[in-house]
This record gives sequence, C-alpha cells and structure tokens, in this order.
Amino acid sequence: MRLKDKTPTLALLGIMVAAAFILSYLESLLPSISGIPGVKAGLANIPTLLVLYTQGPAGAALVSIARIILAGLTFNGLSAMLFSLAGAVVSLIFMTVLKKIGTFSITAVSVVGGVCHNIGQLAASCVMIGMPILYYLPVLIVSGAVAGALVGVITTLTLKHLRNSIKEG
Amino acid sequence: MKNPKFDFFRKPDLIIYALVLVVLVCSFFLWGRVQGETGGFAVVSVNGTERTTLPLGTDTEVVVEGFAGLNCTVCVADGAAYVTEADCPDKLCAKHSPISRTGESIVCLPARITVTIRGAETSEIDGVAR
Repeated sequence: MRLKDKTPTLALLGIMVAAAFILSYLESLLPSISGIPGVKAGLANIPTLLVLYTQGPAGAALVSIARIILAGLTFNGLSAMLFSLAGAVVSLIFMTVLKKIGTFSITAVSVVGGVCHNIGQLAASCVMIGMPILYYLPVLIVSGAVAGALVGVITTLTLKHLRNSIKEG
Repeated sequence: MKNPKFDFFRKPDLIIYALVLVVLVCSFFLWGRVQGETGGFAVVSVNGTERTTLPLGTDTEVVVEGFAGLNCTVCVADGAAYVTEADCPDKLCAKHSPISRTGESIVCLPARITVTIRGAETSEIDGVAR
C-alpha cells in the first residue's frame, strides 16, 4: 500500500487514540457510579470497537494498547495499566473471533468484550494480589456485560452515523 | 435502506448471552469455593495440646472438655467461631465476640481452653491501587 492510501487510516487511528484517551480521562474524573472500585462504563472502548469494525483487529489492538499506556502513564497508574493490558488482550482476542464468525450483532460482541476484559483484568490481579479477590468475579461479570452492552449500542449508533465518512480498510 | 450491520440485536446473539449467563453461574460456584478456602480453621486446644480443628466454612457446635472438668461449647456459624456456653466462673470466653481472622483467639483460663483462628484472611482490603 502506498503512503498516500495509508494516510486516511493513519489519521483515523490518530483521532481514535485521542478520543479514547479523552474518554479514559473523563471516566477517571467521574466518581465510581456504583461505589464499587473497578466497575466502569468502559466508554474508552467505543473507539476501539469502532476501529475493530472499520479497520480490523490490528488497528483496534493499536488504539486499545496506545490508549492504555497513555492513560496508565498520565493518570491511571502503573498497576491499573498492567491489569488493563491483560484485560484488553483477552477481550480483543474474543471480540476478533466473534466478529470473524459474523453472525453476531456489535452489541453482543461488545458484551463479550466487556466480560472478557474484566475476567482478564481479574486474572492479572489474581496473579499479583492473590486468589481471594476472585470473590469479585460475579460482580465484574455483570458489570462487564452491562458496560459492554452500553458501549455496543453507542458504537452501533456512531458507526451508523459515520458510515459515509469512515472508509473501511 | 436497512443494513443488518447496525441492528442492536440479532437472533444468534442469544447464544452469546446464554454463554455469559453460564459463565456467571460458574463464577458463583467458584466464589463459594474460594470463600470456603479462605475461611480458615478454628483450632481448639486444651492445656496447650490441640484437640480439634473446625473449618470455619461449616456450621458446627462442639462441647470441649477442659481442665478440671470445666466444659466449653464452641460454636461455628457464619464463618466465625465463638463460645456459647462455659462452666467456668467468670464466663469471659462466652462474652467474647465471634472471631474469624487469622491470629484472633478466645481464651478460657479456668478451663485452659483456647480457640485460635488459622489460615484465614488476615484483614479486609483497606486500599485499592489505582
């Protein structure tokens, strides 16, 4: 691919990383809605999902990992960054596979992404903190599913409105 | 023009939601097991020698024969151990609040009985790393 053809993709990925970074920041400002630490709406995953559906898994991985490193170094903290990375990897793998199958809606794929993100995160913290925090699992599965559904619906709406401006790559 | 790509729901999604539900139910079982493991044991000793070990996960009631014919009834309920009845004169052990964390103990001096918690959680989470 010539550089000229790459430019729109590069620009889009840049915008998406920026958007995800800002959404991450907004979320860190909001007090935890539920009062339970670790339960978040996951708004920062909207750009990731958008890129997954328009540019494919490689772009989505780039946006997701760039955002986590940026947020981790600036405000989320290093330990949260490591947990997030583990969650992001697990969730990206599952979402990519489900998207490849092709019969599922964006919302359902996002629900799986949310749940897997939380499970991956918990697995990472289990390794670092110890088994007892596994009691958190049911809470995180429910919150991951709800957050995933929300993110999925928002992403579907966004894609619908942007379908003429984003070139699928 | 309706594009199925933008549907919020498609029939096959039900499979995914069912799977998530299954994972959730499994996690509850795992939760129960982890709870049992972290619950630890109440070790009952008389005059310095171990008599019985009661897992905190299962509710029981045991009468312990202590020194000089003085008995104590040790009860385990809701993951905590406590003394319900005591023959000793002061009954300090029976007044002690239930214990559940590692290192906590109830002592009945006249009967020379001690109940000590072993292998449980040391403390509640007191901070969250961000």
